Formats: sequence, C-alpha cells, structure tokens
Amino acid sequence: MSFFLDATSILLKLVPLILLQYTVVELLLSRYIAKAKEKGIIGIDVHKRDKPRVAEMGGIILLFGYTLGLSLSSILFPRIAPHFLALACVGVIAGVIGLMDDVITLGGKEKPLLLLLSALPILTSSAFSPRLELPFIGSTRLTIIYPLSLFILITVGANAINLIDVLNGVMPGISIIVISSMVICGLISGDVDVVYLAPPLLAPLAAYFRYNRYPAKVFGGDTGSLSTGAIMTALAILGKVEFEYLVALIPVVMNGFYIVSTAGLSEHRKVKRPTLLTEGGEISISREEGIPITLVGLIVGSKPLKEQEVVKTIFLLMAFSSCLAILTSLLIPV
Amino acid sequence: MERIHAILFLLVIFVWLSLLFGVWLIYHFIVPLTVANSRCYIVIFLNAVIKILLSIGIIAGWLTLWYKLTKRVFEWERRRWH
Repeated sequence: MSFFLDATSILLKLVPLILLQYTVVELLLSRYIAKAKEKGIIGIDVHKRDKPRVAEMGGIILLFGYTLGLSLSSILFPRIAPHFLALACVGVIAGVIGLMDDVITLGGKEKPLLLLLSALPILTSSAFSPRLELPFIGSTRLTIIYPLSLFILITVGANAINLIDVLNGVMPGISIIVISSMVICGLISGDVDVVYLAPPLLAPLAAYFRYNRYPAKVFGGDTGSLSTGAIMTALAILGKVEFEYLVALIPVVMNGFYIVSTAGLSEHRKVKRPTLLTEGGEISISREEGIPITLVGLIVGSKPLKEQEVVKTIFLLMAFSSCLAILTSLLIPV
Repeated sequence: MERIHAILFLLVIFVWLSLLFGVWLIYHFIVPLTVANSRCYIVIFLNAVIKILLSIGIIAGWLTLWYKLTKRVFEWERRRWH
C-alpha cells in the first residue's frame, strides 16, 4: 500500500513538469510546422490520394521535449539523477544519428553500427546494474553477457521503432502504449524507478501524437523514431523491465525481423514498397514479387483497408502484447 | 475481425510462449549442463562454448520456424486476395 502511495506522490510531483513539457512541445511544434513548410523541409504523405506535403524532421522538437523533461527531472529527483541523464544522453546520441540519416541518408549497415554508440551512456553511468530479471527464474547476475548485449538491445529497439514508423500516428501511439505498460510492470515488480523515468517521456509523445496522428501535420523523421526507440529501450534497462519490454514490443520486433529477413540490411528507402494505394484511397498489398513482409503488409494481406483502420489494428496488437507483458511481470519471482 | 488479424494475434501469442519456453529451457537445461567437473580452464571454456552454441542453435531454429510460418501465411493470403 505504501509503495502505491509513494508512486502516487511521485506522479503528483511530476504533474507541473508534465504540463510544462506538453505545452512547450505543443507550442514549438505548431511554430515548427509553419517554418518547416516555409523553408521547404517537407515530405510527401504517400498513403493519401492527394499526396499532401507534410512538415518533416519534427523529431527534433520531440527530442528537445525529452531532453528538457529529463534534465528538469534530474533536478527534482537528485537520487536518480544519473538515470535521467543517461536516458537524455542515449536519446541525444540516437537523435543525432537519426538527424544525420535524415540529412545525408546513411547506409543500411552504417546506421545500426553507429547506433551501437548510444548504449555507451548506460554502460558508463552508475545507474546500470547487470541483473536481468527473468520469468520463473527471478534475478540473474550476468556480468559479461548482459553489458555486451546492451549494444544489440538498444540498436534493435531503435531500429525496430524506426521501421514501424510508416503510418500517421503509429510511432507515438505505440510508444505511449509500451511505456504505459512498462510503468504498470514496474508497479507490479515493486521497482519504483520506472515510475520516475516514464512521465518525462510520455508528455512530449502525447503532444507530438496530436500533430502526427491521421491526417498528419508533421513527420518525425529518423530523428524522432530512432531517439524514441533508443530512449524506450534504455528506460526498460534502467527501470529493470527488460523482458516485459521485449514482450510488449513483439509486434514491432516481428515487423523488423521480417523486413531484415526478406530485404537484409539494405537502406529502407531502397527496399521495394510492400503496399500500394487503391483508387479508393485504401492501402493494399502489392502484386510485385520479392516484396518484404511487413506488419502493415500482413494486416492488409487479405483485404485493402483505410489507413486509420490499419493504425487501429496495430494499436490493438500493441495493447494485446502489452497485456501479455503485464502478465509476464506477474511470472517474475520478486 | 479479418482472419489474417486473428492469425496475427495468434502469432504474437506464439512468440510470447516461445520466449517463455526458451528462457525456461535455456536456464534449466543448458546453463546447468556440465561436460565434466574440472578445474582445467580448457574444459571450463569448452563447457561455456557448448552452452552458447546450444542456446544459439535453439534461438536460430526458433527464428527460422517463426519466419517460415509467417511467410507461408503472408503468401497464402496475398494469393487469395489477388
């Protein structure tokens, strides 16, 4: 009972910060959209019949929102300041790699290799402990394998989120679902750190979702998706909910695994499009041979669907896998 | 709900159960596996290599099964639609 009272008092302390973050990101995004269109920083929304021009690289504002919230939280809660700062550093490194990809387009092998660097802030901070909690087993001490696997974990997490960010609102929507489920898992396992760490990530995502949802007014680009994916994975590691995070992320990991299995590590813009737009503006599976298997391709595999319907199905799948993650946390001995 | 969506939900359950089973299998059968009780570093090293190879084998086999299963479903649904 006292644990839940602690969690509530933490959340109440964080409310002004969350409101500040939401307002700042909201205001900056509305200004950024107008400026980006003026300066020609735009992308084409290929899943609409009229192919609207949408402001690109809005992920910079999202990354600013994360960094602002995490820095202020480290002042509010000095006990776990290294956790907040490690998260901010992971986000900034992944964000810079994403920005480089947006501007100069990195190769399919360069990007994952560079992303390995984003695990360094966690390994070098005092926030990390090499204890992995597994279902049926409980806490395990993996002093060699676990620190090494962090590099792969963060790279896979960031790339998986990047590969699913193809439809309006999908990236922020699934991130909000997964982070919320991690908070519940943290409450179940009695680890309060994730309750401190999650809100400064949820507020900018909620503000960004307002502009990125159907019909999108802004795209995050790789800056937004890579930084969000890397920060979420780092949150799972520092919050000690790694296994639950992996379960919550199953549909996203499935999507990434299918793409890599069929198309290899080629740059995703060079891979054949698995879907096409019908006369009625619905998304349908392509007739071409050798197209990669994707989650969206599987969803529209038997019948063309409207973009919002596809997004709704992805959210349903994510909510389902998040429920499985919560169930998994009950299987971990405390 | 479309049939393919129901299959997707089943796939998520399959992956979840496989993860749980994989963890249980590796921890209870592969980690305690010892080739010989020895203080010789070469034996300890070989023991660790065997465990890692067995774990990689299980994971690789599982991933292949998972991929083939999904590919079959994907191609079948695509052919049915076009």
